[in-house]
Amino acid sequence: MIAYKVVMVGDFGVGKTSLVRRFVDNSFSEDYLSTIGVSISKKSLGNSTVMLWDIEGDTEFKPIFKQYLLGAKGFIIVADVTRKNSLESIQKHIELCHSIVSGAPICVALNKSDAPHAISEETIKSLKSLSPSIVEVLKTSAKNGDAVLEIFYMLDKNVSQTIKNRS
Amino acid sequence: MSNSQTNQEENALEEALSPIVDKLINKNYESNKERMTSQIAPLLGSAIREQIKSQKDDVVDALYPVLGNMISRYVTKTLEETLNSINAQIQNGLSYKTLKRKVKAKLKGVSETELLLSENANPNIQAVFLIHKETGVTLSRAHNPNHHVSEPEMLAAMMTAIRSFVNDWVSQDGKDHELGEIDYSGNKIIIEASSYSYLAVIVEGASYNSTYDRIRGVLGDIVSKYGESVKKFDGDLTQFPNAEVYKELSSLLINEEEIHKAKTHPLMYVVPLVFLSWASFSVYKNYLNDALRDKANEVLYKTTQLTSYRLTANAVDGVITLSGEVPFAYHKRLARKLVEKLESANKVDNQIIVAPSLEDPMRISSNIAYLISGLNSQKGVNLTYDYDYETLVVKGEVWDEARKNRVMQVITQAITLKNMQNAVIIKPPELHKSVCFERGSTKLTPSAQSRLIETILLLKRLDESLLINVTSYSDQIGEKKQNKKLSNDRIQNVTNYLREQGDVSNEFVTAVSQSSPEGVNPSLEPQKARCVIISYEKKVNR
Repeated sequence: MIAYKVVMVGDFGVGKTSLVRRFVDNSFSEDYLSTIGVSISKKSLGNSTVMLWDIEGDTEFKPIFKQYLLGAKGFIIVADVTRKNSLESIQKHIELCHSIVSGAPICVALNKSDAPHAISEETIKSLKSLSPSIVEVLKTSAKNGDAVLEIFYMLDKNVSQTIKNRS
Repeated sequence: MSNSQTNQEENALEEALSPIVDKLINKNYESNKERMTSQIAPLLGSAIREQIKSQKDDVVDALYPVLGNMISRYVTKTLEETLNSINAQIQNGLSYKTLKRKVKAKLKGVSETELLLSENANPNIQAVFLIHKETGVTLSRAHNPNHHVSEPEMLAAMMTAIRSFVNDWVSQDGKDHELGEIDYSGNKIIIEASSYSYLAVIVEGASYNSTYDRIRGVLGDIVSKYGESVKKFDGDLTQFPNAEVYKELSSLLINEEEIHKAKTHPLMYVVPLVFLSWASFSVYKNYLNDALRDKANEVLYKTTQLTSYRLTANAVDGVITLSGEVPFAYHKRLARKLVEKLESANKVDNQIIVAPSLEDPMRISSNIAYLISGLNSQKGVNLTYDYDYETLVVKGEVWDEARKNRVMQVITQAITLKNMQNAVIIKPPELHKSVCFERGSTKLTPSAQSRLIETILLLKRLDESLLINVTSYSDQIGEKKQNKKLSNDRIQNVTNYLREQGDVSNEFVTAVSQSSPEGVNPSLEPQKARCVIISYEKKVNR
């Protein structure tokens, strides 16, 4: 039995909460409700209990609150395929995560893939090469559920393997 | 047209229209209820605010029946619950607990009701969580069977988030801030943090200092015993000593009152009572034993023949047990005889060992030291000694022969050694009494007589064999022949006084000196020069 913490990191409005809702409740809502502070969800995956910390998105006026990242075993960095600057922020978010927990595994979710977008395979490759800690970069859609389970499972597999190896 | 006509027309119109308007409003209201509500709603707030501003008392009066009822109902209900519980306790009647409370109230000087209230407000710890500080993962938890926490992991994570938020966002002065507790409807979550974990404790009812102390104590125990496991926690709960920590946490769930109860079971009072009476009986017995023992030891110590063996007596219920070592059976018998004479001594168990030679040099040495210090406490005895194994040299000074003999006798009796050397010197105490006379007179003045009495007292304590020097000195005024006669008469008077008044039997050596005593200038102090000086004969050693 293992229990650990995963933090969702990304710019505001990229769909962090929606990904969590889809993953935990398998539900989706078009309404946008900005997360204030942090909302925490629990999901059991086989032998592990994942505490998902869905934090307030990063904005120009209010940076991410670092205390919430403490002690995380993995991160899911979320970007919006339709918003170019959210993609550009990925690099910054990786650095932030690693400044708190160095070398923690990261999955990158390029969300809202159901909307028309122009993300090439090369972009994905270049994103993957941003850090050796990146486990996977996937195009996801909280709306139709594409690759949502996959991205969480991949992170869980990586984290639980690391924990088992260490103990 | 006159005014009255206009008025009449208006009235007529109003009469005709009002039923229709009323109907219209009613109809409109029925069909557009929602719209009307939404239109009026925003106005209500401002209307009430305005009304409160201008007509505060009216509003209070208007609301009072509603609010008052609500508040009083709430208060009544709360009080009712408390009263019910108090009544139940009172109805328990003259139970042991009530009796105890009555006594406690009297002792503390508070009313019984007050005590009852405090008993009712006993804090009740419902659930305890040990939470990893950074990840918010619940490491271990314990809860009361009737207090179920549906999502413990969520609660722990949320608490962690709130803690992080408070600690970081509230602290703006750079100081460390720590969230202490969260209150909600009469319950609270008390948070007690250590460096890697913290305890979140859900408490129902009031909490007291003792509650916090208990929480701190448990956290302290956990940190000291399992701190390393907490620090190393990496997500793998199987590596965490959950069972042991659970035991620690569960200890908090036991109600303080129950702990108290457990402590004061009626039987628990019988035990101390029995103990107390037993204790006082044994104290009394001890007192008797002690008194007898002290008496016996005193007798053994004060008997000179036994002093140096340091025999010990112990008394139990009138039976005196003697122990120690003596060189001869005589000493053993003597000790028994002395102790048997004591009042309240029923029986003597004589365990004294007769050991003809006490051969342990350390023992001999300490016996000698003890004996010598005892002898030195007598007047006129000032002994020292050298002890090298098998050889004792007694040195020092005594005033006279008799003392010397007595001291040596005691030492040889008490200490059996092959080689014993006696190097004790007889040295009488200082004697140098000067008896002065009036000019041309041989009569003993009162001050001269008192000097002579002092001399007599001293000589009485000393050996009769001492030779006493009586020398007369002169002021060297007047004729030498006359002075010599005066001197002889003065010596005669002094020696006569000593013999007749003091019964002194020592031999006197008399002398007449033409000069003045040493250190006295006759022309300056003639009265000091006209004197007779009494001292010992120079060589008093035998």
